[in-house]
Amino acid sequence: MPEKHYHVCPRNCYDTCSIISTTVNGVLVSIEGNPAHDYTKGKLCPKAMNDIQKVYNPSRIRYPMRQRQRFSGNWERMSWDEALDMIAQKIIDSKKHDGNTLSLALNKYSGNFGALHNAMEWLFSGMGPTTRAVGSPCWSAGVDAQTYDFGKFFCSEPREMGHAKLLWLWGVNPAWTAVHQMPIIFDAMDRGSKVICFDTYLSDTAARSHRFIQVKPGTDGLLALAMCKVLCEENLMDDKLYDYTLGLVEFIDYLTNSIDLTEAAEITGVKAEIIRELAIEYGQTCPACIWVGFGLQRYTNGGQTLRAIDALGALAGHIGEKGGGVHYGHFETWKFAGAGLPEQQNRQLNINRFAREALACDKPPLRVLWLSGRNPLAQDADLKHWHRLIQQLELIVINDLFLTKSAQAADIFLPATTHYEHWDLNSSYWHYWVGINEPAINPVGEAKSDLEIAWNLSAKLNRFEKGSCSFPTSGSERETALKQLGPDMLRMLGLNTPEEILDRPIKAKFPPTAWENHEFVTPSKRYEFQSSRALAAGLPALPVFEPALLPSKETPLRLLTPHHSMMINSQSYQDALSDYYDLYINPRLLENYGLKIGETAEIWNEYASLQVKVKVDMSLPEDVVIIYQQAIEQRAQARNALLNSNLSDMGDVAAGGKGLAINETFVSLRKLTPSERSF
Amino acid sequence: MTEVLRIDLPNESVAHFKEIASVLLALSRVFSHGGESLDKTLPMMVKTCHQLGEYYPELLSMSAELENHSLLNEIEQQQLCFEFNRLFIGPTPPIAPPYESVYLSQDQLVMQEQTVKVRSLYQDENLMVISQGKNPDDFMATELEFAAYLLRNADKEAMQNKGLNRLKYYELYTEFSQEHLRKWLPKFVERVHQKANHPVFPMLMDVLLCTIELPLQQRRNV
Ligand code: SF4
Repeated sequence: MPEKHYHVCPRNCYDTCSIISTTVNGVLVSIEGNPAHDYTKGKLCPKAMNDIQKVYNPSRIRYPMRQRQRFSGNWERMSWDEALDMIAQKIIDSKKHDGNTLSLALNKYSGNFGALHNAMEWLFSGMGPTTRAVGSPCWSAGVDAQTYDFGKFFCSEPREMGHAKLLWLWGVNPAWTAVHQMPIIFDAMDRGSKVICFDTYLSDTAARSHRFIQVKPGTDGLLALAMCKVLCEENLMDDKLYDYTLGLVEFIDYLTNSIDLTEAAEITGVKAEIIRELAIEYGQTCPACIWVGFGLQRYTNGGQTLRAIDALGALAGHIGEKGGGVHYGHFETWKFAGAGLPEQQNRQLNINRFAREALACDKPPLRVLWLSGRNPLAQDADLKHWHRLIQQLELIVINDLFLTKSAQAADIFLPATTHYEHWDLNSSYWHYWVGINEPAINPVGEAKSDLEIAWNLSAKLNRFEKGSCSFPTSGSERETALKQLGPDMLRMLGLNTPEEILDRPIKAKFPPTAWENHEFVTPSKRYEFQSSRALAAGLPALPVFEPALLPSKETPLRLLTPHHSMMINSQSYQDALSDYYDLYINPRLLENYGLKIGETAEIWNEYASLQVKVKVDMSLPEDVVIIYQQAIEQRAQARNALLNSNLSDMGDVAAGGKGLAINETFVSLRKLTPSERSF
Repeated sequence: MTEVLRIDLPNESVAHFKEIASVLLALSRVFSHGGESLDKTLPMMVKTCHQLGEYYPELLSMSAELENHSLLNEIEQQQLCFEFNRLFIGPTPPIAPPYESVYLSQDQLVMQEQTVKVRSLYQDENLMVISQGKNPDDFMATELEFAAYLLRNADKEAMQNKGLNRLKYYELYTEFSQEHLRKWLPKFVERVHQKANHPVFPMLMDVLLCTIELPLQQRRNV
């Protein structure tokens, strides 16, 4: 008899879709979107459509394995007992040697965003103060920026965007990365809304918009400030601003004295008259909504860019307006109860500079590194530091589904379950739904969930040394998932008991429009153009323009690496992988470098060089090149070898650490002789 | 099937089902116990091959060669284990995953139609894979164990001189082998032949292909 099960797509993706799977005789046979979910609406993207292929892939790792020498590929199977013995022994030995647990490091992020994947964090907290990767490789600057402006990181329910008469998609490409938002945008267009896309290049979303505004990379904040100035000049500011904002006068002063439209036009690449026209239209249209993408804040001035765009929304009176506002993301529905363990005085290393900072740790040095939901060797900057760190470490453990680039460095590989094999609870950072994830099938092979691994290791640790880990040693996965719905979450979801979520996903009972009564949660309880918290963090109190890094003579091209439509970071959902990266360049560059389409060329900078196949994108500026993220680091040199860990300007206050200014990677391009080409 | 029933089989002294079953079981152990236990499973393989070789000389030369490679020092054993894992286990995508459906299903995955089909064959015999649902029922070790089970039963029936009854398990073996083993094992073996870096594995493959054919050969002889 076919059986149905609820799941939530746990990928680091806006949509966090509700999934229904069907099993027959314990075998997963199909998955589909949940039609009862008002965002997913019964549809899934192609990334999830190959989930069965992923679950039952013969390349999926089914047993715990041990590598005799890192990167050797010489692996032996081991039992869970042996693997956990080895890890527990190393932990106990390190603790004895150092007199503390700081040499144990966890580097975890978004491979699976389910609440029970925090089990690894709970396990480490149970051991004592340890070393942790903190912050986010993604959205830190923007999260902090919105925290300064609004008091917390929150945005309207995404379907509200459909009410906008004017919709600005700023540095976001939902046609590729948030496919369920596209029907909402198209519906709005059908009803007469105008959609303008701001981006560096003509993305698939820009191509579907009414108008495309091409902005030079890293200058979007200035563009927003220039438009703010126009709003002031044209008297298009909300006339109630004095009632609910702080620092308006100072901000207007700044705009008056420091922002010049002609100069802004020069820097941003958007003509002054277009800046004026756009600002006037934005100021005069209600409701008008801006959706800011994550790429915009991956610059050294990324936080300021977000603050400037928020300020534009505020100045025009669009914050708190139904169908208006500035959408970026939220984590209001992520208030999981956790494991009730005491907060530890962890040694915190910025996730984006993890290897660099880890190498500098000496009291004690890092001995054990556990990678969970992460693939730093394919994603992170400072690859040379990573390789030095790997040499220094005494034990590297990774739990994952497949042998990633990073897993090749591991001593022990622990096979993980997919979201079809374990209980979990998932929230979205975009819509307001929260859903339970049920197991549909038994774990494949000997795979275990993160929670089970954490329990089992805690049991081992306590067997070796009583009291060495305060995390529980056993339990029920289902109960632990339900327990994540503490009183706050239950209230938020309008539930009496956690069990009610077993019936269906539930949407949080938030008003659909963020900040609708202008009740902000900043220290002043107002929208803060002028933020004392920003000042206290060593930043300008006002949103200001600070130029992003510019290309140099040696490396004159800015390398952007946006998401591919079939990839989420290093997780690939492509059927056939290429053996090389395609580099998209402006046709003029092709000419300047004497290259032909499809020819192999080299890009390089002080960190690495990479051979690529050249392709043309007519919409790209001449000083910008693009490589879409692709999981081909097992076949080709990983493109992140070119990255340096420049950090964004914000992220320490609410996001745990500054973000990675990944869009400030610069390279040079070179034609290769036939004998130099690898392909 | 009706045609088979009309054929009289060679008597048990010629069939050697028991010996063939022992080789299949030893092969099954090689795969179920994995690369880390080759020091134990390979000698067992050699021994059973040797016994069967008494009746089938082609196996004698194979088992002699296997024997040369099963007396290894610790380092060689470890290399053999790494190679076994590279070929059949992972964590790098294995060259020849030992599951039937990977070779016969449309998407080349585990746990597909073929898996469910062999499961129902096992169920018909009141058998069940201990780790059902976790490990695919069409795992090579399980299929070989099932083949050995069928032949052992065929042998028992032969010993009891049950006449037609005896044909039941032989028939089941024939059917299982034709519907499953013979359909995917040649593809599996080919991959090993193409990509193995250690001679022991192609040899094992030769033994495997040869052995599963022996009971069928007997029918052809008849
Ligand atoms: S990857 Fe995103 S859009 Fe695709 S199914 Fe998962 S949550 Fe939905």
